[in-house]
Amino acid sequence: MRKIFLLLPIALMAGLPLQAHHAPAVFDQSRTIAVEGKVTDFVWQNPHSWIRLDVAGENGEVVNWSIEMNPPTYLIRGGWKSTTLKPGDEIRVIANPLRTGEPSGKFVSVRLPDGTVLGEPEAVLGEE
Amino acid sequence: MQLAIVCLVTIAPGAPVLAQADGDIYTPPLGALAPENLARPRPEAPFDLTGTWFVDLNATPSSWRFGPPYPEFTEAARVHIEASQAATAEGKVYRDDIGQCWPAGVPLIMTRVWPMAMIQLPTAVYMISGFMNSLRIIYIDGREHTPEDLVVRSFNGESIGRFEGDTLVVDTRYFVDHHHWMDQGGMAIPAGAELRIVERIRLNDETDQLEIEYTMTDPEHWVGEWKSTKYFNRVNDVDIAEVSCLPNLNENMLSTSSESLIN
Repeated sequence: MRKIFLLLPIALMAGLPLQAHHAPAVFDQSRTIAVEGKVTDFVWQNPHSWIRLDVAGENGEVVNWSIEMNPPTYLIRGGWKSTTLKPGDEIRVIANPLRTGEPSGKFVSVRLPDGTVLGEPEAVLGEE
Repeated sequence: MQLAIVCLVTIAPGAPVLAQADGDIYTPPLGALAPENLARPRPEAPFDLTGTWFVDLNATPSSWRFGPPYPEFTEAARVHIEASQAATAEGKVYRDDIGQCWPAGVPLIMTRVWPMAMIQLPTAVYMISGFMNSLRIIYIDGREHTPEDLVVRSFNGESIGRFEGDTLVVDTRYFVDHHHWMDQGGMAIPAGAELRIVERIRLNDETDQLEIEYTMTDPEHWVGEWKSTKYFNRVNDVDIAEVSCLPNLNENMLSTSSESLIN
């Protein structure tokens, strides 16, 4: 079963603030994909947190995906904890994919095993 | 200047032998944290930058950039700018050195969209970016720049500041000449060894907003002065944290080894 879904393009996000330690232009932020799979690792770390998950490919082969996230400072503001994900959790992730099609994306949101959907606050401070 | 003669007599085979120095030896200034330096009588500073600051992005989401407007670039810069624009047109990224763990350096580190802690003492302002904990020190104790043949060049340069009325004027020079960029996102503008940045820093008492007016020159890469003004707001509900470009980071960030990178 194919576990990678293309979603409709979402609002252009290229103008959003740069927060990553790398160039965000490698991600196609004009569209999103959904990947479903089993968490192999969730790392709560600066300057990025990340999710690794095994995703079943078209021919049944399993591909390990990397989903890049904001630092914990911002994730906390969106309700995240270091214990939100654990290996083995079945999740569905929405992400902006790498332009090259490599198995990675910039995190947009996740559906947790209990159905809860968590996003990621924008990495901006002092805007209130 | 001091005259010092160093002579080490070795008593064991293989022990290091220091060469004899014959001439002037540079005497560094008193340390900025030396009690004697801190206690020296000085005019009271017109403001205290101590706090945590975050670049104001209200003007545009790209307010972290120092252009446009841009100055007239030299051929040495245009080569890189055109290459980065061509890469962008193909959906690729040119020379993402920060992603490869090279320091952002001044001026980009100031607006990297991470909080920056500033601690002002009578002798220096210590700036620590939340991004990779990049350390920048502005010495305000009256010292001069280190002689060019002694200074250790860096990505943040050597900053010497002096108060002029209600303004802290900071002169930063001695940058490295590699892996240091003035912009990103399709504008790969290199920063060279001749880069010099003068910042005029003011604190608006009414808005509690920090204003920094940048005047940047680098004759290798652009003509004349490149000016830009940035604003920073206090953020009192966050502290900077330990942030390092650890080996496991890029191993898990496929974007830093993507085929779309042109290094």
